[in-house]
Amino acid sequence: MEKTELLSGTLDLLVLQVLSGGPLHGFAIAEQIHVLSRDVLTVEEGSLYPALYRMEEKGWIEAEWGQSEKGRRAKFYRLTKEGRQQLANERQAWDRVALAIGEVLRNA
Amino acid sequence: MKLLRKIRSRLGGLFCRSRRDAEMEAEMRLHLQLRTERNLAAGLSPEEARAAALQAFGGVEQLKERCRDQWGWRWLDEFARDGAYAVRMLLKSPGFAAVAIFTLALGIGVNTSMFSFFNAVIFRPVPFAAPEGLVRLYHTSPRSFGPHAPADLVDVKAQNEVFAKFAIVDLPSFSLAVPGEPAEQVNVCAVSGDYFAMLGVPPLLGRVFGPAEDQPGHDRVIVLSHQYWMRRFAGDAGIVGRTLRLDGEPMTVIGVMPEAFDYPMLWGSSDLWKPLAMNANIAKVRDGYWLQALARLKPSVSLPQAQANLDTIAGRLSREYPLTNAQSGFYLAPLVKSALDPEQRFNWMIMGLAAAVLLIACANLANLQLARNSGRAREYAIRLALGASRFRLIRQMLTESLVLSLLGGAGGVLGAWWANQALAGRLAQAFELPTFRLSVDSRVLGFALVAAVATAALFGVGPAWLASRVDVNAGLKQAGRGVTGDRSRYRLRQMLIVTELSLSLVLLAGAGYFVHGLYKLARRELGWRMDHLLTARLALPANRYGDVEKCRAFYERLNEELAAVPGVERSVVCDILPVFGFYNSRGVIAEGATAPAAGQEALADINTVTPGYFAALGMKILQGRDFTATDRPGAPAVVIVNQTLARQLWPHESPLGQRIGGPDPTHRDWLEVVGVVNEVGFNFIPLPRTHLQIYRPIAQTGGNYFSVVARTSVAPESLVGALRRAVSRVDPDQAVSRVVSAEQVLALGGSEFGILISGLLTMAVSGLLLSALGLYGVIAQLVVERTTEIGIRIALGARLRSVVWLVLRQGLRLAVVGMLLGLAGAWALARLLGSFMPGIVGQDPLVVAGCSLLLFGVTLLACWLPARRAARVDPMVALRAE
Repeated sequence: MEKTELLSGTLDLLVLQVLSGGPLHGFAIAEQIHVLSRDVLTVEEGSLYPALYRMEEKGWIEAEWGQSEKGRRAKFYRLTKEGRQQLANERQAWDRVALAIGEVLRNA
Repeated sequence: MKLLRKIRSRLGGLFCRSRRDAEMEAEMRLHLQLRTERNLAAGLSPEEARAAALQAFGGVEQLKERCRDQWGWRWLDEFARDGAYAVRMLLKSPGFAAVAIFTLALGIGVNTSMFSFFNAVIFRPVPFAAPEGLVRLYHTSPRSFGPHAPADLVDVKAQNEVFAKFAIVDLPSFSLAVPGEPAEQVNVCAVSGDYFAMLGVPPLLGRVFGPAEDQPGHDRVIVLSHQYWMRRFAGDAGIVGRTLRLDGEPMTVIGVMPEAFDYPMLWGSSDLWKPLAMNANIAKVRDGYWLQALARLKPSVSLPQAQANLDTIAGRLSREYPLTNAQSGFYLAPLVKSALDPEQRFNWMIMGLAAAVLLIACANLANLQLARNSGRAREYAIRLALGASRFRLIRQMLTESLVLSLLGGAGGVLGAWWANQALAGRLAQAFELPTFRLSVDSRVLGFALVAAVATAALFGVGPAWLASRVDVNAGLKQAGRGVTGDRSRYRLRQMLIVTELSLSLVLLAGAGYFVHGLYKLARRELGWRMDHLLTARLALPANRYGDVEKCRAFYERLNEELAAVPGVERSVVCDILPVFGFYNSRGVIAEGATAPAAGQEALADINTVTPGYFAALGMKILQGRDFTATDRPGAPAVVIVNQTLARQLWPHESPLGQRIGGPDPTHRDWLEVVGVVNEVGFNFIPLPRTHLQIYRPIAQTGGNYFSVVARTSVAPESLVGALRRAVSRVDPDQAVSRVVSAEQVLALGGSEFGILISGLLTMAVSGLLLSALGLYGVIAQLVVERTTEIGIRIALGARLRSVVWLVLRQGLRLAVVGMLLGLAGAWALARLLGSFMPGIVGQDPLVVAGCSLLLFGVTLLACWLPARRAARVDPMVALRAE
């Protein structure tokens, strides 16, 4: 399976987007991104956890220990109000960039 | 809210480390587990599943570290850990810690004490409004630097375009009497009208002088200083409006200044202020210099502009009055800086010498660190191998340095505080103040902190950098020896020792120059005997002693009363006892000789005396006679000259019967020479402005300010009370001040030198001690490193002497190089000091040779101790240790 590198700066957007569906633990976040991208995107653990800690530090997400599906203790991340705001901002920015890149590819 | 959470999270990161680490651990373990399960589900074997999960995960520890990075304030966290580690390491090697902290405490202590002195004197906030605009005005001439003639100041005030305010200050002393109480001498600061307005400090009580109160007739008002008000009137709030008698004149107290206004750095402490009312005659005086001047610059005017304007005025005056002003000028210095040494050079030199002690301490510490690092090379190699970055390693070593130097700094502050207690008492004596506050305030503490941190950087960076260059492979393979770049490290250590030794020689020589210079001065033949002389200052008030005859009667009666006291052999009155020089000087020309150009006349110091003065001082009358009771007003004006003047003016003729005159061609005031005496020398003044000295009978000149001098057959200090009683028998209203022996005058005046010398000696001894310690450390380390080699040599039959020499040679080579460099430094220092104090300090081969010998002896001892240990190496033990 071919791995596609994540565009820099998009990991935050994806994590926030995935979390907007509800609280998830780290492994589930990586899985969700993988699955939702139809197996195209793989999130490296080496990038995921520092990103999670950073976003927690910034107050976009908060963590809580809870029970995972198989009854194991897991740390669940959830969007905060600021996180929701940040998600909206980043989506807007992404849409603008995607549109702009599309324009260039179409017209050049 | 957001901020709060952030702070909580960060502090959590700092203080709840272990909990957060455990949570991170658990989270990642779950992740690995889930990934492994997923791989198992995909059909991998359990081992493969686990391996694949681990591989995907990458380095767990690195990841953890990167996650911790996100917690923020990581540096602080690491700093705290490094600090704790450093403390643990220091506790493990208490010997090293003790030596290092002592070294630093000494270096930082010396500097902190020096700084607190400068802090108290120079950096002390000036208690006046907007002090940056205030300047002090000095009169300059080729021979002097200081007070002004009244007429010059009147002209400056009228002609300048740069001062917003200008005040003239006179510092006389008066007898002050509270009606019904004995008179006492007070230090008065007589100031012209603008003074208080210029300084902008409101009074604590009452008011200050109005603009018209410096006019004669309106000037009977005084303002008390806080310290005098407290001392004399116990802070009596009802003092304003009371009448006191100043020299017999009634004066009304109109105000009291606040405590902060007492600023003794300018001209000693004043007891009270009175208006300076200059009458028309005094305002015309251009050839007497006793007034001080302060000014406030106009807001738009800079110091150089003001100086330029004054230069113009000085030029104009020197053309108009060539007789008095030909070579005079004015010099402006900011008030803030002018307190002690208007040119600041001396302060910088002392601070520089203190800094040299700190540099030696730094070099020592660097050496100690280098030696310690070579023992810890293996530890560093292991840390590097485990993935620590070089930067991280350096930072950890610097933290150790910082911990050390902060501890040393704390010790230094304690030491400085202790030294300040001793210094303050002596400073109070030197400045003639009741107390001198030499506090360790926040500024001094800040200085000590900066010194400690700078020291840490200075002695920490080099060794840390070198140590971090450890070769990991070699370091792990070998067992400790030769791990770091030995050669470059050894070279660095040698350089440090050489620097230390040269700096200590400079310090030693600096102190030696002063000690020897002053010793030579003290041993000089002065031409008069200072022992068994009791002296006192008197100021006869002009209102009761207005003419020469009244003054003369007073001198005569006083001399009679005093001479009758048992234990007094002789009593005389004079203008001044020549302990530190004469007060007055004037130009003289010989009658019949061609008069030199105006301003080029020979300058002679002048003293006015009663008969018997020469005998009382133990001087010799070489030709002619002493003054007698017949040399009084109306009789021919006579003069006694010293031998130097007689030889210069009349090389081929007898001086007796010749006449000398003043510089004014219209008013020569001829004086007939009736005697010739020997020249007198002054203490601490090897190069007086002139060697020519003349004496006038005080009976012919009068004089309200004078000294009475008694030659005693008993200890002069025992007659202090008798002298006071003798004065009050002559005039009960008359105050006496400074009743002391001539030797006490000398001790008081010389106390600044005493302080200077003890300061310099402290620095020199500290420097010597530190560099000896450093050299000892280096050589001892060398012996340890070469133990095996020495063991082999001994085993092969090397003689004891050659082993000692082997070690000694290393140290002595360093000593010689250091001392050669130090000699150059000592030579430069002598030149520098010679320019501050010509005649006292100069090139002094004897001192340099003595200091070199001392330093050489100390280095020899520092090398010999380890050399002896080397000679005692047991070859069997040394070889087995390998």
